[in-house]
Amino acid sequence: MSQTSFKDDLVAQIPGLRAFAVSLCGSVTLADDLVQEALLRAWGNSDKFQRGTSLRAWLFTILRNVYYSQYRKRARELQDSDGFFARGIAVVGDQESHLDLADFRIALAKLPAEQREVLTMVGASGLSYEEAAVICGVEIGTIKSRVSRARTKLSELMGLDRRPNASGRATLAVSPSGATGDPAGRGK
Amino acid sequence: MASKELHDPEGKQAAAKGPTAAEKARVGAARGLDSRSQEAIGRALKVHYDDLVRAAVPDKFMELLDRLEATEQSGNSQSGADESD
Repeated sequence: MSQTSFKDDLVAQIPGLRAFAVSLCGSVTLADDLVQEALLRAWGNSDKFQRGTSLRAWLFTILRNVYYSQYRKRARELQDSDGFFARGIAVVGDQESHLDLADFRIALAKLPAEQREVLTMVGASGLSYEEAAVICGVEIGTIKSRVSRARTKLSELMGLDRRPNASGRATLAVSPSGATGDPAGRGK
Repeated sequence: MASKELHDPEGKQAAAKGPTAAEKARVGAARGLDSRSQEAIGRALKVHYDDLVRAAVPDKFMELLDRLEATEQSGNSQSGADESD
């Protein structure tokens, strides 16, 4: 078995693993600790990884276990210690709606962890409901209901109407810096 | 440092176009959320995640894996065949 190719496969998964970790714990600093621990465990248990199955799903499972067994309490204490939620960039929609990313992240952080993680998995990382169910060790129906509840809760937290308002828009004011789009030079 | 690396407004337009928006909207509509709210949430979720995925990865992870690999290689040369299926 080539550990070098396994290493390369792990490296390729790091960006997604970090994104999942940050979404889970709400702190970039803590997320990197989580990723490091997950990589250590993955390396030590590489013989348990079944070739041909999703390495990403396997790594998410490991990282999730690390989080719930060791980091969850710390995450509550350290959440946003690195100003993660304060970093706002405008999430500009087609023409109908827009949300501010900083507001969104604050709302996301208020969700119960089991809702936040499944929403991240199926709504952003591209994992299937089936994969999310395996990762979380629950039925697919449970995943679906958690995702649904997460969306409803997010909508409430962000003040989105449950029904279209008079103008038919679901619009949330963005921060002043984000309202005018990308200020010159910000991305350079 | 991390916040700087993670900040990448470029490409957010591309990130905003997710193929799952319509599906989410349908699911949301069935639950009583209007489709535009659903689309806004779905889009924000993708932007949130893609912003993180695009962030520069700290060198320490590569260094960690390099160390682990080096340790294993030196271990193998000492213990000989230790293949397990």
